[in-house]
Amino acid sequence: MSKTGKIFLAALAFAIACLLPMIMGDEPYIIHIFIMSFYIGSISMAWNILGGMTGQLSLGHATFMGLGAYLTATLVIKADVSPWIGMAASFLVVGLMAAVIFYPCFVLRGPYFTLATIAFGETFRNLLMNWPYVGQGQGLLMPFGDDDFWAMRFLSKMPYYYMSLFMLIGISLAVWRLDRSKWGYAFKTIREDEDTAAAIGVDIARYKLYATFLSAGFTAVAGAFYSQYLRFIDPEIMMTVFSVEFVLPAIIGGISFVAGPLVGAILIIPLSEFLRAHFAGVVSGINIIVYAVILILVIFLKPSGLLGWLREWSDKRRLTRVPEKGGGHA
Amino acid sequence: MLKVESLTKIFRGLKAVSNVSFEMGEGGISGMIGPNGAGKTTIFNMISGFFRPTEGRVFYRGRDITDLPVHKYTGEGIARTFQIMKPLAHMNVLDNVVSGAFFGRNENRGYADAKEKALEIIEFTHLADKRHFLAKELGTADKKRLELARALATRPDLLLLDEVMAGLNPIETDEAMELVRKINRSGITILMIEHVMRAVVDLCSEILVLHHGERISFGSPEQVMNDPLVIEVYLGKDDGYGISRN
Ligand SMILES: Nc1ncnc2c1ncn2[C@@H]1O[C@H](COP(=O)(O)OP(=O)(O)O)[C@@H](O)[C@H]1O
Ligand SMILES: [Mg+2]
Repeated sequence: MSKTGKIFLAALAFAIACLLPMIMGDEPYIIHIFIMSFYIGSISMAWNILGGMTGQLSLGHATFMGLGAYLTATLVIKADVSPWIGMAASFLVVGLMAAVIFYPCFVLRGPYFTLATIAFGETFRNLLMNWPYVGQGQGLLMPFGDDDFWAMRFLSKMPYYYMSLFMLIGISLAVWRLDRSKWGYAFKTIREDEDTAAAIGVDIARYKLYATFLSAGFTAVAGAFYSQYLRFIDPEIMMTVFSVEFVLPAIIGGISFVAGPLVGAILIIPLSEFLRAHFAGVVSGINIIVYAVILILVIFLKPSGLLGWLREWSDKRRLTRVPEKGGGHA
Repeated sequence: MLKVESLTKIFRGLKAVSNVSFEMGEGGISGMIGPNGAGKTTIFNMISGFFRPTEGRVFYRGRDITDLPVHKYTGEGIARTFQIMKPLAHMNVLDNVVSGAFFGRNENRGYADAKEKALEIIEFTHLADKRHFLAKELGTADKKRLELARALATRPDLLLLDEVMAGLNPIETDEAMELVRKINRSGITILMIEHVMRAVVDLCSEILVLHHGERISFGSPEQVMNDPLVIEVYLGKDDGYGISRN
């Protein structure tokens, strides 16, 4: 697709997304599905910094999300701090925590790294389960009250819709910039081949640290949002299933594409919410079964995801056309 | 420019490189030859920081670089290619080279600069019409060129080439030789491991010969080729490996 074409498409999508609630009218359930799509899309996008760009497949992102949610909720409840500040604090604190905790895991490769991230998640979940200060298994309930922007508290879902939309756009823009930066190239080089990365001068440990910081930080921001939107959190939100849910959109869309998680989220979350709403009573956990099936299909049929398939298709079309003249600069 | 002093590498009791010393000046092309398993790649790995020598030191422009962390070498102006090619498989040719252009001795600039630099090098290495291909889609000759291009993008003074002509047909070998010459003329000192004798003799002004990890000869191509020890190693029946006549 040409550059102007892409910009046009993005602008169109943005306009539709902004106008959607007005078109949909007062349909809280539909709006909720959109909010969840934007929220999960944001985390999938953030996950992709570490998982897709840097190639370190983490299944610990539900923990970063949960830590952001818990940090923000605790600040709100115990110290009456605005969740907006909690969001910023989550980015820094959880980002740093993740970087420090993952640092020793960087020597682990492939599935061993993934296993370590699962273990890390379970550890934190158990910790919170047993910590009275944050309500143990009962979790935390946000304070009730009138609508208050500073307290990120609204009766209507509409403000949350726009918040999650802008969060998704913000993280997407950050990742898009990252993709074309020195950091981004360091991340991708590490993913492809650590020896080559080292040979061109990439300090592997340092850039993995940066990737973890950004990935976990952004995920924690989304977690902060989640805690204020649902207004109730408990340690369950850190379960590994949710980590899988965050990874899915990226893999379906294509982990080597900046827009991969976005495309994946738009397709998969509404489907998953639909299944959860309509079949959860009949077959509990149906959405997880569907996830597993989709995941297996994508990995077997098209590991590069939907966008990978799309690119191959357009490459083929280009190759069958008369080749452009000259090999000049793009 | 580069001085290697009694370099030794032992892998779990196996002496891969044994007390090798040599020195090379700036601006030329030097070669390293020897049968398979002679220890050539291991020496490269020690010069470029991938392996710590068991013993010995490496000096670059008079500075001891033996203990530098591996990612610091391109910053010093030393770049390398890999015998077993390691392309950034799922990135296209341009992005492979852009990666190099963001690191090494390039000042910390933005994408536009890195891309411009990369396109220059892609042109220089004759990869321009393939710049949108994924690295994994390239043939052997182009993959080798890409290895070169990515290393060049870090703006080295010293380039270590590990068998960049292996697996090429005679025409591709000629092209590769021409490219090596062109790189050298642009002011980059080259140390190359090569099995293709024609290329080594043609390109190199001095050659180091290794056998079983030991230096058995060093000198101009004529000197080395007429060294009885070298002749024995290559033509003798002690091991089956010969020089590929390509
Ligand atoms: N990482 C390693 N671990 C153990 N042995 C190695 C390693 N790298 C090389 N060797 C051994 O060292 C010897 C020299 O290998 P190498 O330097 O690759 O030879 P060459 O490049 O001259 O063909 C061989 O016997 C090889 O098996
Ligand atoms: Mg070798």
